[in-house]
Amino acid sequence: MIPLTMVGVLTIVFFVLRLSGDPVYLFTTQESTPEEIEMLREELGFNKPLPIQYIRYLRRAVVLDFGTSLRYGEPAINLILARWPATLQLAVCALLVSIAIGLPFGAISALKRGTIWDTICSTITLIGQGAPVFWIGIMLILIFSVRLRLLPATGSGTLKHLILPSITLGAFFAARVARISRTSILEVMQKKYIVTARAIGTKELRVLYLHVLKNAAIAIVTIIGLSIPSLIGGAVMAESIFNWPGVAGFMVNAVYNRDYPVVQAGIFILSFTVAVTNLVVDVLYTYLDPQIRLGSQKV
Amino acid sequence: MNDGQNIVEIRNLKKYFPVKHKLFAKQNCLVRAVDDISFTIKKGETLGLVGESGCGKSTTGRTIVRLYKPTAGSVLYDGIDLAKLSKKEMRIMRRNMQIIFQDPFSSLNPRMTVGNIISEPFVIHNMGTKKTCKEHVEALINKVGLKGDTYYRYPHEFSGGQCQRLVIARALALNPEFIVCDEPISALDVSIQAQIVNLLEGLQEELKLTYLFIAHDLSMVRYISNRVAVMYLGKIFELGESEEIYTHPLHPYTKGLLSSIPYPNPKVERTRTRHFPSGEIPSPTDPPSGCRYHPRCPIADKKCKSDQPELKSVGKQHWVACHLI
Amino acid sequence: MSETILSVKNLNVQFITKRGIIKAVQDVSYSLEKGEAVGIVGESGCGKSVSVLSLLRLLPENLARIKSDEIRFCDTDLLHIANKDMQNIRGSKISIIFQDPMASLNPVLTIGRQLREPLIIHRMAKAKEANNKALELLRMVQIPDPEERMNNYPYEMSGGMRQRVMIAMSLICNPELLIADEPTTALDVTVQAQIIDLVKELRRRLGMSLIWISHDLGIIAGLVNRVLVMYAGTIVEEALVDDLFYTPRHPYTRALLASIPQAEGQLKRKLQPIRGSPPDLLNLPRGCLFAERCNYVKDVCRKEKPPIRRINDNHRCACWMDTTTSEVL
Repeated sequence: MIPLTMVGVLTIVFFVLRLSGDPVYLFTTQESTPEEIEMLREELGFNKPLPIQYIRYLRRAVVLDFGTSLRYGEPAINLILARWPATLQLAVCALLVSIAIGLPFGAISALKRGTIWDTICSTITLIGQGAPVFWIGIMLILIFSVRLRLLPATGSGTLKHLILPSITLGAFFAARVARISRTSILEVMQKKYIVTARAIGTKELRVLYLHVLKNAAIAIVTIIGLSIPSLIGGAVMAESIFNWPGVAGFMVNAVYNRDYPVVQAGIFILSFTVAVTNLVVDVLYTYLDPQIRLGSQKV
Repeated sequence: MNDGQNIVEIRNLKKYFPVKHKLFAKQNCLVRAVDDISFTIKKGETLGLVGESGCGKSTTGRTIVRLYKPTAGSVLYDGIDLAKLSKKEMRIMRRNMQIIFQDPFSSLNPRMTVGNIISEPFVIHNMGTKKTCKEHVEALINKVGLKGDTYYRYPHEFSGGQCQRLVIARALALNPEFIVCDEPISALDVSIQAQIVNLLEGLQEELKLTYLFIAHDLSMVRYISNRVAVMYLGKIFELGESEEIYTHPLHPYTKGLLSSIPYPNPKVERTRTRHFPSGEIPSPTDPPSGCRYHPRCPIADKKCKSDQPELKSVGKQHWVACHLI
Repeated sequence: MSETILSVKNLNVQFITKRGIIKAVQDVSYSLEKGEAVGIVGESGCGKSVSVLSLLRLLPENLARIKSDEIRFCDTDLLHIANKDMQNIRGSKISIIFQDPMASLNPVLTIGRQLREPLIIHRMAKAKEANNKALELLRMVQIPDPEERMNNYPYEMSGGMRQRVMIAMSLICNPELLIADEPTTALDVTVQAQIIDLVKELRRRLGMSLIWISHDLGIIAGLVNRVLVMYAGTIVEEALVDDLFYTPRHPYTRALLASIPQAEGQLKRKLQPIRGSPPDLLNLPRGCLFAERCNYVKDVCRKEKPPIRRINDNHRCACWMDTTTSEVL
């Protein structure tokens, strides 16, 4: 599945590259002379017929050769891969934060449905979903870095540096987690086996974790998995604000600098990450849903 | 066509559904919903079709009115093989055969008024003007026992029993001869069921209708049917006059089935000896070899494990598919 | 002399909804002796399920309002005990099984796990002992290959098997009272017969009392000692099972019996449907709730609610008329 997805992504990039005219201009700078442009065209193979270009392109992609960065002069893929762990770190922390905030909010909303708690939690969630990442980030910087001087605003390296960016990205994602938690839990609460659980004398708390959450988890994990691209999109903003040395922020700069090889490499790596995440979610499924694990044969 | 003639004839009908169990299964599993059945329905009669889950009775009904295309075999209406008709001819043929389903609420489009719902058949077949249409519809609504002012109302304003009447009115719109009733009363309250059954009986007499009455309520089927067919895992095990089957069942499954019916009569319940089948109904994807009933049959022998019995005549209008009868 | 284990007096259950107050159960009173089997019969919306769910507080708390003069089980006041005491009673002293076995089991837990749950919650056994007890119950409900079944998940079993598991779960703590809310409605008729037979057998072995709710008069006829007939939230007739079927007094009971196909050995009798529909529970009429559909209706029926008449020690009927003589009482 994953190789197929990657070929698809690469193909789309290939054609998008050529949409805006002669692709060689994406690799040239202001100062390039016509001779240099011609040389570049020869070197990059843009003077060959399209199918040949495509095959070459794919061949190069397989060995992760996306060209040399126009700005830094190094292979684009190295620059991207060097920054990938940082993004991963941020994304994972943000995910944990979002679940830690979102799940309880969603659960309270669902269990206290119709009461004032539901209204409070739902309103906060709604605001959270509407608030842009950069707004959250800047507000947090204002409060914790500027006013309180507790946490650093930019850079990385220590745990302290990780806090604000994770919370920013996490808070942004938490709203989605809260909403899906609420819906999923409400749906499971309507099921007849919850009545059975109560009928055999189970205490409410146990009903919640053994029966409700275990079943709600399936839908929650699905939606979180499907929303990972959104998380990555948010990471673009978060890394920019906090100057976090990750792939997303680096790519933003690369776009400004028209450093096309880097952009290309970045797209590839991010797509690959998303594809792998989906795989992980699928595998997680088999632990959560016995029907998927064991197949649906009746005994 | 005279009474007593066959209006519907089923010959070696099969309907299989492919089911994929595993993503990379070499062979798709097949649900053998209907597996080589043959019978006829006489004009003006009610043929009851009974059986439990997975027996294929609903699939049979739907295949007859061509909601499903048969996998094999043929359905003849008035002697005409439905498979040989062109699309246009089939469309015209559909005016003669109708079907009503179990759930009255999901059978009616909640966004349409009752008037629109019942006039839809006229619209589809381009029959009548707006005015004659409305008159017809109101006549139909009266015929099923509802008041005229229902024309402009919506289905959700009515109860289950009333909705089922509307479903029947719609089925009668094009003056059909044959109606498949697929569990028409199962979703209704007990006291309402009698209303609908009486209505169906009255309409049958008045309009000379023929019914295929599919149900799992064995007592009700006995009440309304002239003849009954008993199905099990896609096969017909017994077919005959209603009273004959209920008083002198021959097939072991039929005996077991009838033994399972609870009677609203305490003394009878206390004193009757019952021999209902043990075990579970096997899955239609993996039916037992030979006679489908042999794993649960109290009198099964070697032949039953290997050979499938054919329906054979054992008396006046009575057929049984069993090696040991 | 049998002892009364359950006593319900003037139970009222209302549901608060946006459209108004639904009077699901009104002034229902009945009692149950030790070892007795009582059937509650009625059509949809008559309040039969609600009236037993309210005993165990299994109705949605924010919607249901339960009022009663008394709900007493053995020596416990079910109406006023704390929630945690109620949780102790559920599943161990009073068990209930429901209608839809396909949906009543948790899909992500094994059968064995769910079967052991009541024992664990009520601290009646530790892990290994619970496992053995679970196996014993699976054998008791006649499930073949019980050791294998313990590791199955619900989706791997048919409806009939799942209902047997539900019965096993409900009996594993040896309750005094088993309530069965239409447990066979969703099952095939042969499976239904097996389940009913099983329940009869288990009652013989374990001796628990039974409340069986159904709309099917046939099941009731063969299963219980005494019957309560409910209509629109009230009990209209209560009698021993033979009296109810052979000498029914209430017009609704009589009409109900006349509207269903009867047993074998009779010439075909025309079904007599009951005209009209049940009343809207949001907007109950004055007077008798069955008046609109009754064959014996008189003026007084429409004006005032009928009293409960005692026909004999075990037979009560809520009606103004004596249906045997067609006279107003």
